Amino acid sequence: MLEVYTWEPNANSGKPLLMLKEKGVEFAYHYIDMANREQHSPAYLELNPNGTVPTVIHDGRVLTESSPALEYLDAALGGPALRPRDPYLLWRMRRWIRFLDYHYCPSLAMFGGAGVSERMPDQDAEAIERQVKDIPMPERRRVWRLIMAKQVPQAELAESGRRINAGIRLFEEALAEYPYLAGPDYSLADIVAMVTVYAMPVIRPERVNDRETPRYMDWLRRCHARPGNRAAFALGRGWVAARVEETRKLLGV
Amino acid sequence: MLELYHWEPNVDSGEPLICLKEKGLAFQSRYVDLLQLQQREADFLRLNPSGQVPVLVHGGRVITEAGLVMLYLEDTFPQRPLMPQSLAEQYEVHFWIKYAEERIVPYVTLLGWHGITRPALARAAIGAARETLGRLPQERRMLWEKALDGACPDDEISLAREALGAAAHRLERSLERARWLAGGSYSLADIALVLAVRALRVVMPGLLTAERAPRTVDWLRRLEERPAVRETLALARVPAPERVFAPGPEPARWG
Repeated sequence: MLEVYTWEPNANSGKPLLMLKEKGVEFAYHYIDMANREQHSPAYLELNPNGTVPTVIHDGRVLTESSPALEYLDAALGGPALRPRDPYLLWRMRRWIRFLDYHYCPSLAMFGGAGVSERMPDQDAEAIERQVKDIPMPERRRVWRLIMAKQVPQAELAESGRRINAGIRLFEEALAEYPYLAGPDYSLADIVAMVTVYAMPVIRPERVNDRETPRYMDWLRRCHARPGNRAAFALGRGWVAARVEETRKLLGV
Repeated sequence: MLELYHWEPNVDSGEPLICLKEKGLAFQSRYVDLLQLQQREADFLRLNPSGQVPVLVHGGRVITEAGLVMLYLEDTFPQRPLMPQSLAEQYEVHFWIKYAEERIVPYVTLLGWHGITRPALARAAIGAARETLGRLPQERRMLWEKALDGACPDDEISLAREALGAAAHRLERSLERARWLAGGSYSLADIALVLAVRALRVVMPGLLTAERAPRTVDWLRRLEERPAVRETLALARVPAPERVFAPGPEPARWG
């Protein structure tokens, strides 16, 4: 029995969705509404005391760290293997995942947070503290304080923008070597990347396009065309679904 | 042939060293003095453009990132295994490697750098260091410049202390359930944490007392008795490697 508590096919939430659809494994999808901060609700915190998504439950085992969970699920479930056997390619896969998790996804998420911040009503410090006090991780609490106080630092945001652009070159270079990020075959690295950059040609059209980054574009086409990707992104609601649609149209997939 | 570029046997640099010793693998040790900024010399940057240690070179292949070097060694040299058999315990290994990298090491080094290493550096040495940072990639240069400039904002220090308090709690709870971090046997999870926890004991001594964290204290004692850990610590060029820190890795910028 496999249960997935997660939000949309976007960022960390999307990792188990893309992976399980790629493997063709049945699972129960419990939608956690991040727009209403359901991940910080008492019921969810009982399941995952960190208040992060996704949470995957397999045979009663609760997995709360998404990238380690992907390695576990690849070994535990049937379907195509999504990790290279060669130790060097396996290292490449893990290095991409680490780069995306630790470096790249947070830079993009900061822009998402800044957008949410702009739409926030004005609130005093007391009201903000009341709302963030139940967020379990101090790092997440800090981020939500900045969002609610409309104080996402502009210098930090500019640095995130620089990193997003610098990362585009890394994709192009890696894909000159192999058709997929870790090597000749589609792997967990591509899954973690896709949930992060699936809409880059729409978000950064001046930098990710057929003239500037032809290999990156072809890789996006290959990934978006996969039945597993299609099925997982079809689970999107609201703006995620709209953004996927717009990207597919632009890519001609 | 295996070569390991590393600094003192503290966090990051020490983990692959312990791993190599546990597996009984012969290797060339290449010492990179981070406080002398040898990581920004052209030869080293050609090897690893990010200007970070450790770096493993194996048959011409360059393998970076402490936790990933350990996993590569395990995948390549499965003798004397440091990865448990069960998938559930393997998940714990991956979990703890990530947890140490994200939730412990950045904060321990932040407190150690600002509390111990930087105050002891000569003003002249800091000035000279600043001059040569230009060769590092921008994110590393920014991290070093901020660290050399001195005072760390209070809110960053308090966030580090709070995060480390949570980590110490989590560690103690895990060791109540099992003798080793991944379960019944010693593994890469323990290696990924041992040096970070030794450094944590230095930067926040009140967290890891026999009263507050008896399981963690006992776990650390068992680890420090292992020959591979002792041999690794004996490679130190300074009297107490758990008390020397260099800036980085960067704490999470967005939760």
